[in-house]
Amino acid sequence: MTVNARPIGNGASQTRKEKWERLLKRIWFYRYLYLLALPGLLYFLIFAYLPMWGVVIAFKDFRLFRGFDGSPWVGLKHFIFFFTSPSFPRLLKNTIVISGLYLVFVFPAPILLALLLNELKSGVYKRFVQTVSYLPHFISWVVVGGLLTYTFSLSMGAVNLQLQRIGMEPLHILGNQDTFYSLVVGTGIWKEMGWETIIYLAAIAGISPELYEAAIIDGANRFQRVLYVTLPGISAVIVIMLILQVSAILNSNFLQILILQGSDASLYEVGDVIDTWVYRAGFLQSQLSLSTAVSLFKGVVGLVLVFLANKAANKITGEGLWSKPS
Amino acid sequence: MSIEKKNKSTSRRDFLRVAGITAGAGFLASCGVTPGATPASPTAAAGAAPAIKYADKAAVHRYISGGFAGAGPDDKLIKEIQEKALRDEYGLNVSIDIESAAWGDLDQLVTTRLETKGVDSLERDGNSALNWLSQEGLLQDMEENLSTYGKSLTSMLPSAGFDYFKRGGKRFVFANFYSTPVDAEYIHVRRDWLDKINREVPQTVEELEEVLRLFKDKKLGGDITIPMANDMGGWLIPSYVLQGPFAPEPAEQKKMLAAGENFEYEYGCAMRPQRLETLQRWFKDGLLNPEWASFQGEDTQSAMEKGYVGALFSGWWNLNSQMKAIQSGVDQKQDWVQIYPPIGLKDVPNSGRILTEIPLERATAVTSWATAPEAIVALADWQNKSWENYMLCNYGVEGKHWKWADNGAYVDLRSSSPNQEYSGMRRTTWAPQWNNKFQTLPAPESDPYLDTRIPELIYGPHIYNRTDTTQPQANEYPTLTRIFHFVAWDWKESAQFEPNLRALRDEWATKIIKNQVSVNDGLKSFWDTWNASGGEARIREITEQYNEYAKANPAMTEDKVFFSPENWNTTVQYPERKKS
Amino acid sequence: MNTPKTFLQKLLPARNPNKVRDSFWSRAFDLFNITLMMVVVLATLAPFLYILLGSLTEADYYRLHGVSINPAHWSLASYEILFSASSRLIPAFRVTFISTVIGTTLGLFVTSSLAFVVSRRELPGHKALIMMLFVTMIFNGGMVPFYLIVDGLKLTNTIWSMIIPFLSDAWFVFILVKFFESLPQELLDAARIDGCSEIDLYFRIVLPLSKPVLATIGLFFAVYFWNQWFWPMVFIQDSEILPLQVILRSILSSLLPVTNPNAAMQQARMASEMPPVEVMRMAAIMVTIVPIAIVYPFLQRYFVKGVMIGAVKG
Repeated sequence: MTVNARPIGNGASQTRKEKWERLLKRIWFYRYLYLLALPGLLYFLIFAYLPMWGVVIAFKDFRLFRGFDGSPWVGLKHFIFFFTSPSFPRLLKNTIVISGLYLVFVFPAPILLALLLNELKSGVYKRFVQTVSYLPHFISWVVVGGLLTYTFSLSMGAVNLQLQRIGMEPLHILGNQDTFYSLVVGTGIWKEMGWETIIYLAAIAGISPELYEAAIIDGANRFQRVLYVTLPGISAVIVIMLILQVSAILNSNFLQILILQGSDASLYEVGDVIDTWVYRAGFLQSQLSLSTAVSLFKGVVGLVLVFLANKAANKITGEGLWSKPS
Repeated sequence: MSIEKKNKSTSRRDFLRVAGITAGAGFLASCGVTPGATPASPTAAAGAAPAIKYADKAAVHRYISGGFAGAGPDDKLIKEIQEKALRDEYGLNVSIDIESAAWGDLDQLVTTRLETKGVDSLERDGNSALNWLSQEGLLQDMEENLSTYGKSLTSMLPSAGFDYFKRGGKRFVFANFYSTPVDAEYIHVRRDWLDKINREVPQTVEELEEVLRLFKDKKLGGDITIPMANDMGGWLIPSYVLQGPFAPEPAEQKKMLAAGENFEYEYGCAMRPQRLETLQRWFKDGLLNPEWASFQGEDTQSAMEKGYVGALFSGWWNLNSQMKAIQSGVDQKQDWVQIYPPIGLKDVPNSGRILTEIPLERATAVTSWATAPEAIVALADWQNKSWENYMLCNYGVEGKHWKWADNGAYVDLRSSSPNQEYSGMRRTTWAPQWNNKFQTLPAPESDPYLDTRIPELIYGPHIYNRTDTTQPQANEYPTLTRIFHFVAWDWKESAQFEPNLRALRDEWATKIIKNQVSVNDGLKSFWDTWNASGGEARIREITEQYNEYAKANPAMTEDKVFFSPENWNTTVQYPERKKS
Repeated sequence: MNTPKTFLQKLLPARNPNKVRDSFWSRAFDLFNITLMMVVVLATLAPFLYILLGSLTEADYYRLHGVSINPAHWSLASYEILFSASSRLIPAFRVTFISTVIGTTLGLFVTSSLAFVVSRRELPGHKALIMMLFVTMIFNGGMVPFYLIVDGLKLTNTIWSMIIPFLSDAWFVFILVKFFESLPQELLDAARIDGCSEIDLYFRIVLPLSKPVLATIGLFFAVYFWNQWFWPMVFIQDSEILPLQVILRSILSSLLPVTNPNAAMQQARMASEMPPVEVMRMAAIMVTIVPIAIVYPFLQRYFVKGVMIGAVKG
């Protein structure tokens, strides 16, 4: 096969039949690639697309014994129930605020950490820090809740015991509406920052050292090298992560929020998000239709956001989830 | 990975859509009233059916029981014994596969199995059974099976347990009732602290408050003194603590129900202004644990072990288990007793009582798609047919898994958790007669209960186990119940609102108690939001159902049926004080 | 490394081009960085140490004073209890290990092969593939259809139910796509000129170059399979093949104080004999984390810089 064997179309002057033939020829040319993709395609077809028919339950009143087919259609009833619920404005606000905080604080943290780690001269120290930093990822949120109580409990927490010992007022950190968002951000960073550097470090490892050499030759100092070589080198990864994060704005780190709410219902005002509400109203009551409807709603919003974010990313950086602007 | 990680893939977090969280209890302890089953001797098996059903191939029946973390190695042995008995005594060749999960995970397991038709019958608390029953077509009725295979069951379980779950005159569920007036209403106090302030065990709410203030002022726990704690976060609100003294009197309750006047009835008086005021004051003055809303059971336990706590709202069994462990082990100075009789309001007669709730405890139901539904009825019947069967199903083989001590106490021979040879999971809804018998066995000599009054009182005569529902018995445990036997449950319209309604109640009650809003303002906001969130439909449904019920059962609306202070036992003495 | 040397470089003696002039700011930054990383270590290690020490603290001491640093108050009771359930734990470890190894390998294969194909922009249907993948991240039909399909494929109650339905994820595919796209075109073209077919290209050139990202995604897969508990609980009834997390959860919950009046006696016994439940929980966490913490450092060598050295010719 020579490099010129790729069939090249010529545009406007082709007849439809010729276009079609060319297409078939190209498909035939790439037949082995399609074969290679087959396992993956099959997987998504069976386990992602096939179950999607379940989405229709959002428009039905699900009855357990009747299953999906037998349940009656109710149109937009569940969506209306959700949107007109007195809790809805608050849920929306809390969800967006928390996701926004995540974008601003929690998202950049692993990038920053990856860059800093990359600058460590000692390979041993670097590996050590990295290994230790991802340990919190494996501690479940339930346990984190217990750790928080141990550390920050008003009467018994380690921090407040020390403060009292030196005569200071105890800090009211848990069960406090004013500190809730800080706790969300703080624990979010603590728990996932180390783990998420893995992907950025892998991306950094993929940057050709020649680029650094070229930069050095061009006289770039350390900071400039990071700015002009490293960052652009991983910008593709950063951008898709960012796009995905933005499109997930209506989602929450469900388990984290549930744990931080704990059993203190006064925190609902700042901390009740769509996911926790749906968990109570939907799942615990076997209200499958309601939870599916909300999922669908979030999905549609996410879809729109992804398109917008991708367009923006394309305009600004030329990167995106797909290479050409949609 | 697409489904579970639907959100993870966009937010890259370990998203468990169904989180197995055990923040607080996974189940509601509902209490209520039980008519006594005539403690008839169980009828002998009505002769084995001549031909064996499913003789060629054992019919498989899948059952989910509650709260067991996993099967033990000997579960198979018990299974064999049970299934052999079913063949021999009931003529059924069945294979009953039992599954279970810990309380925190059980709801998810049950939900998933129901949604995928992966289970034939289930056991759950009464409220869940009511939920299933309101879902049209989910369950199949048991009439035929009960008459053929369930003779003992029918006589040993309270008839009301069947009546509650009837549709079109057919029985759909079999249930047992609580053997005790419900759990979290009890107040415990440290007598060693009382001694230090020279006070007797409080008899009234006012006395209790005075005692709590003294605990605090004198810092009896040291720098960290928690005069009053509750054992589980957030549970303070729905629990029956302090509801008894502030509950509306029977006449008032009936009026509220008949006229749909307000929501207080619905929450068992959790939101009575006077109750909230008291708790709010205690919080403000530092008498109540400032972290009452967020402390989990283990945190409170920890605080108790370290000697910070002077009084505790918790389940009655706590006295003879966790507290006992502290008193005999970690800190022997602590002398805990459960306050009895229940505290009332000063100068208000008969207010020293426990408020009880819906009576249903465990209920077993069969799905409409189940094959071999008679299997579970037969198993339940067999289990409750005799004391020996009951012991086998619950605790295993005598001599191997347990034995009787010389004084008649039960001695568990199994290895301790998590290695119990027999998990105890192969059992279904039990007859109160056997349960009560077991709970009132003598204590092992080597390990005497610290306070023997309590189990005796609790399992003694009380509103749940009256032989004649409408007639009070002598020496009853002091209780006030929500209208006797009335269980509003057919939430056709308002079931979907339930979790939010409860969450709203929790939210506003928490804010009120934490002094973030005044009682009046808080209640008004709550009331408005609650109504707007579907509460109105709930009230309407209760009112309609109650009126129908009252018309059909006039005898059940008489005061004495659910409130009979002249019969109450209020003279029990405390055990001897610990020698310090 | 064949960048044409500048005149100056040809003149001067060769020195390691990576060595930086150590400016003052550079060194100050190094110091700052080292300190900052130490703070990170402390912040993340401290709770972990707490958990480790907690799991080792003697029950009564823990009840009175909490976690103990002093080995005099240590005991292995919590681990003994966990491992006394070895009859359940060991099969669980085995199952989890097998499913992790198989799942990671298969998952990597399925995901990366798809990703490679998607990364070929010239392929007809390229945009359609991306859209198709993307839609799976946004919409899903919920748990019930998913369960029914797995059940329909007769996978339920087998180890495969833990593996096959989880072999890929659009997010992983996209990460790999981005990575493959970033490989220098000249490299691939050079190979094509040398007569490589696309498939050869994939296996002989692209995959070896992708070690860092493959190791990364592989790690994500592995951790996922290692920690699985929800779907196995739903799919598998046979307790012999339940994975580690399910068994651990069930062990832990069997130790939790039972809020059930009918279990008072059982509770009394447990309260006096068992270590507090938090201690048990901490031991369970250690049991989960330690294998991962052991394996990960070995994967780290794949993240080494300079993988591309020598790859580009002329």
